[in-house]
Amino acid sequence: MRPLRGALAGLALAASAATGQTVTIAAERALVAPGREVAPAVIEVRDGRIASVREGSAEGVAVLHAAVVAAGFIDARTTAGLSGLIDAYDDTDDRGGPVRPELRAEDGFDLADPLLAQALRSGVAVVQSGPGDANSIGGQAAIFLTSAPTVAAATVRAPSAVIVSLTEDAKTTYAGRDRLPTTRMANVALIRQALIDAQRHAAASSPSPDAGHEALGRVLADSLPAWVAARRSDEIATALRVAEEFDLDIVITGATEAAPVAELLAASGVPVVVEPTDVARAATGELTATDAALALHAQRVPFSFANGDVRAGATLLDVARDAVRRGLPADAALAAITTSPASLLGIEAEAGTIEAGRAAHLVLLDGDPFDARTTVRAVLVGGRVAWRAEQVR
Amino acid sequence: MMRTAAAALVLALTAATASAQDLLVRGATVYTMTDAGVLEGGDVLVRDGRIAQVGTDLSAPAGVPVLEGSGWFVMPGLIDCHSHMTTQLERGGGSDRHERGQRVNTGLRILDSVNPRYGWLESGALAGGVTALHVMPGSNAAFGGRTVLIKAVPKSTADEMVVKHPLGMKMSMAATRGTGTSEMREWFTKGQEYAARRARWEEGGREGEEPRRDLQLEGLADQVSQALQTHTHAQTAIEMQYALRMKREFGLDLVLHHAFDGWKIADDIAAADVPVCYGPIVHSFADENLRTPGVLSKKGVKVSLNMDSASDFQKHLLHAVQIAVRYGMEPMEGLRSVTINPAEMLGVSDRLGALAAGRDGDLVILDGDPLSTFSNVLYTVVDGRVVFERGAAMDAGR
Repeated sequence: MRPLRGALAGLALAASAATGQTVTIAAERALVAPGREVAPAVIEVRDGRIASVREGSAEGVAVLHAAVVAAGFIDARTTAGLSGLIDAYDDTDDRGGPVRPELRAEDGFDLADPLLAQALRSGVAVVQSGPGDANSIGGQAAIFLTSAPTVAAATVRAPSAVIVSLTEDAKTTYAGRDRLPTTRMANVALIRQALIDAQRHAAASSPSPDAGHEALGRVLADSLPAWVAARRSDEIATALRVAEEFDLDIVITGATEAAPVAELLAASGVPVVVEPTDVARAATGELTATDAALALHAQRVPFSFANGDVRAGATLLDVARDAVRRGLPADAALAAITTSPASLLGIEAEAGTIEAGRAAHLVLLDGDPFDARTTVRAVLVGGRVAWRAEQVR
Repeated sequence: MMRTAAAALVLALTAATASAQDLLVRGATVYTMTDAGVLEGGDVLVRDGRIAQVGTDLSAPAGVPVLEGSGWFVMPGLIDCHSHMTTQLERGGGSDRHERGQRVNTGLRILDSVNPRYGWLESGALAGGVTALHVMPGSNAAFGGRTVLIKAVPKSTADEMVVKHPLGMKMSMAATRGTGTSEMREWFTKGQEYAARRARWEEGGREGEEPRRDLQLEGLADQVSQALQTHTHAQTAIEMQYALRMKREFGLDLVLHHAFDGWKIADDIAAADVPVCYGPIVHSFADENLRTPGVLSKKGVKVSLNMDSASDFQKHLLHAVQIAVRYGMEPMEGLRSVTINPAEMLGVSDRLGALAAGRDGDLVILDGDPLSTFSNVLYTVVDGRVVFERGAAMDAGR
């Protein structure tokens, strides 16, 4: 792994060098959107935005060459920026109590988090980052760029979701402390009571200010979605049960065991975010993230891949590659890390495709993104070369 | 989003109905568990998942598969009134059956802990003819949470398996000895106050500030208003006496569970008109306790038997009947104790526990008398569909 300090220095240099400048990228293939390709392609970037995309070869001015260029990947559900790879820097999950809707991702977001650098190096330009799955209600997530001079500059939208967890994580955090929850049923009871209290707060004529009630009030009013971590099929069923009771707009995250309930998910219209298989914390059986992706694809359920509350290991691209290896069409895999998460986060006018006018979030690769041998050579975030391998081909 | 989620559930239900099968079992000994008694050479016809006709010399409607049942015995699908199946899995995830974080868990619902996958349902329940399970939280806390009655056939979600939810509140008198009983009184009193406060607000035209809705107090209020039954763990005579006092004092709709010492206080239980879910028979401590099902039922107490199981032991429910009969229970009462009696004590006898037109098509088909330990379950049928089959496949359409 590249030393953290070096990566940061690189970022800072890239920032100052790229400001206000034009970058031209020449690529053998530009995957401008799932199912749409321009080959060969020249992409002009000006003032942080894509100025033009045309078929042809660059002459003279090209500064960056790549075999393949794709829209910068979007990780719709991660803890990167909060988690760190070292426990001492871990701001993911507050352990002061299981119901924490008042907590805000931007108050813990650290651009120097090595996990964020790891995401960037694997081609991720935009993340929705938030608390992990260890609390019943973990707090508020926000959408960030993976590279920017300041947290304020990195923030795309805050808050963007409230994180809820129905997983094994949520019932083990307080085990042995004479405190709820140690079972799934108690976890659900805490969440339901919190929503009931928020309903009451919202209905009161002059409620006293309460950040937690207000955040859940926005969830109840559908102005903020609840992103519900549910890995097992019973957790997914529980998510739908609670969503129906409170008429909530939800997104299911984790979803390792989505396959047995894929039909139900299709009928419900609830979007799904598939996170890497995490045997230790997931699931009861043999199903993997790839099984989930294949089943959801077959049922035409809109889904995205995400790194989730996984501190290390598989990157977003690794998860997508495994699914392609087992038969997910490359277009669907590309959609699951670009256009699908973009629409899910409501940033589809800004990110997810290579089109004139969009923010210049671009990933440059030395081969097909879903070929395991391919490496990421450079990543542009908002038109700046936020990271590049030592040599760009 | 609510509309779409509801649509999903309706879809799932429709799918289940469409795939439910028709079936005619012909020429068997049929224990109806109704006034019709036992039919020799009896037939049971199931259409669209429900029992259409029970009698003799029924003809098979076109396309309905026939099982020639000569020498076989047919009875209603067995109901276990005290189970923990699906709350503890064959692998992974630990137990979701006892909440250990607090003593009063009236806001909890065991339904939120039910996982149909890897819960031993096929090998543990259906293989023994057990088709319905009253799933309850465990007994480590005074108040364990709301219970649910489900069919034992795994579906993709727990919701699709539900027969009745919420059914009752699980309690444990073992967790309340000594100061515990006064603590329990305090909580029931809070439940009464809560119910009164809400009622005043409702009756006052919902004027003024709505009293805070509290899931914990709501559960207690539902108990004291008998909107929920109270199912309590009570093994010893002293625990059962506690429970009977609570019933008198707070007007609970009480069912006693375990009741090993029941024979010692049989008159008290009979006088209180409280049903008893006895068992597990394999864990009854003293030998004389095994007389309890017979003693109580002869005093007019409605008795059911349980396996109190979270795993594959669930399937031996008929053995509990055989042992209870050996220790003095009337044989037919023994069979009632795992069919119509639990159906009545759980308030679902309009659907389960008897073979009669209109009831759910849940049957057990055995190769011998269910009261014999030598008999095997050949087929288990739920909603008209064969969900367990021992040996050769049935000769459909013969």
